[in-house]
Amino acid sequence: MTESTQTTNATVGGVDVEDLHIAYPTAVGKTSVVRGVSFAVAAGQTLAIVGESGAGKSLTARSLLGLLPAPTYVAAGAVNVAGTDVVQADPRAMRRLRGGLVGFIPQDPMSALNPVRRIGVIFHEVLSRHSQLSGKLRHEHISNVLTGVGLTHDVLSCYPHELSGGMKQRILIALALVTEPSVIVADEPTTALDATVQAQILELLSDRIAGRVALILITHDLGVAATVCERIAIMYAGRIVETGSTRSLLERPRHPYTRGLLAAAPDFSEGAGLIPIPGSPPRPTQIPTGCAFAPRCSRPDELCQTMPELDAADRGVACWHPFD
Amino acid sequence: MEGRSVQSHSAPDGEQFPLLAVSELRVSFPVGSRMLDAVRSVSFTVDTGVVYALVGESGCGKSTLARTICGMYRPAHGNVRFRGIDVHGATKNETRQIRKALQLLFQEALPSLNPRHTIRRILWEPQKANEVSKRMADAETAMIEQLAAVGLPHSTLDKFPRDFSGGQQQRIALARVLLLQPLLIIADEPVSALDVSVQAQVVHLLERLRKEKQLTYVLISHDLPLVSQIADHVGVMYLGEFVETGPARDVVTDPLHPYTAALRSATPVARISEIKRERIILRGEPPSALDPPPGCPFHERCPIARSICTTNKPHLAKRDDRRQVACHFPGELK
Repeated sequence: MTESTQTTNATVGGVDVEDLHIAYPTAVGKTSVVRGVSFAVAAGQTLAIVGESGAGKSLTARSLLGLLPAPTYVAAGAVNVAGTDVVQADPRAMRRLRGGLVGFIPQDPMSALNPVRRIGVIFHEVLSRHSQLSGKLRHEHISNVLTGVGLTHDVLSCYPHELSGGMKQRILIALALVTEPSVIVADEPTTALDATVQAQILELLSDRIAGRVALILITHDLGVAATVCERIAIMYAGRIVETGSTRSLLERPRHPYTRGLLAAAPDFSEGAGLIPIPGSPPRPTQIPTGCAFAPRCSRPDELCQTMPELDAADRGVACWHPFD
Repeated sequence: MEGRSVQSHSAPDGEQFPLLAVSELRVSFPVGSRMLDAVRSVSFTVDTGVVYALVGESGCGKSTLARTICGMYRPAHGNVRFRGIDVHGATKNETRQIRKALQLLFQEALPSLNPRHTIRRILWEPQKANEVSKRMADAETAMIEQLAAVGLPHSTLDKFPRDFSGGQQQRIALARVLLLQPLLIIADEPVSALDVSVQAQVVHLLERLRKEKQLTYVLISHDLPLVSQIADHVGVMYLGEFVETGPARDVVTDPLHPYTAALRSATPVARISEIKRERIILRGEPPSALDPPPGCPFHERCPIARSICTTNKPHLAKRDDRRQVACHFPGELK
């Protein structure tokens, strides 16, 4: 019932991805890495895209900013971000989008900041491109954003090497927020951080950012996804195999892969977790036809030779024999 | 010499020594004109067949501790005894035996596998160096058996490291270690670079091999849920020292030190019950080992610190016959 309103909202301030295919050229044609991914995230909503290495989650995230690493390219589909058609947009429109309407939080805070620039210079560089603010107002705005992420304006005179990993990640979050974007894409934002610092950043993401923007969090860690996001999409071999609210996904996982992931991750209760999924995720060049998970699945049959589609956009599963 | 043989399981005096005994270990590095104590004072023992986990955040000294145990660094104080023999004061012959019996498994297998060598050569070289086998042809059967033990086919031998997935590369690294028939394996985050669905496979393999071969592991990990599942004992490190030690399950489920409690609480777990849980969020980050704070090294970040914590350093003290904690108010923060 809310499907149509969601899409409209998403087109205005959020993200709308429709049947996205990402591929790279090969001698005989192309290899698809992302194979028909659709999702919508409206302003104020949060979506975690969860998957293992090679699932295509990072490429999906990068395509939202038009930052696919060569030679990968969008082979088909539509990507609409904050009202801009990213696939068709000219470079000028993309520059306005990146770091302006869309904030990006990278995985590794150590290498994301120019080591020979003071933090203040980096902030001014971003704002001179994306904001009308100047002088005192600009300085006040930067200070406010820094306070919001738990830093003081003293950091503006520092070089990146003078700051700890956690502080650098806070700076990157502040840099993503400083242009007041309507969409934030965070690609494994806490993977490089220690547990106690990760907890600080996750709190920051869920208390200060979720709800204000359309937040897309890319992670391999279901625990991180569940801590920050209301909705989760599980990717496997370039496709979304299950999606739904965090609660329903954890309570009632329907895809055998989602079940397997939950059973494989260790938790604190005695004897829980650590049940392996046999085999390993397929390489993009060796994705089986039909259901890509079938070779590792406990219940495949002839039907699984045909590729299953997500049966619904809000609480969907792409499996011929889903669990109830 | 006979009684001090590292390999001998039935050395006359062998059993009165634990397999590994670390006592009052301090490891320092010069930084400019000052000394940085990466490990400040650590003592623990590991008996045969046990999984002893070292837990802590980056910079806490757990990797330095592991490397010192292997003899890669010399301690500034204290010693490491392997089956009673001082690792850093051993004779040449003893050192050779210790190096064979005490093996390392790294977080990422690929950088430890020469990309230009076949798996056959990769598996054979340590055997040659340790005089397990003189000719590659003689070692062939053992290599095939060992690959089978870690779940890899015969055909693996003629391939190169890049032909394998991350999980398979870790299995190859494990096979290479096992061919030397070690007594103790120091595993530094052995599964954290692997995908979740593959992690459990390697963990089960490590478990099975431990039982079959009476192996002992020192497991370095930041993954508290994993440690609670597979370790027998755990030492939680902060700023180069243990703040809490004890049976892994007890320490994780009923932490006595506020740092352990915070680590436990900070770990995101994908379970319904965990989503809306109140978390203990520590302020700041671990202080520099160059300037450890006075009093309790944890007091600046501790949610329950009081004035005594800023002046008096709590020492690791017995709580009961199995657990130790270094805190003035143990068990207060849950």
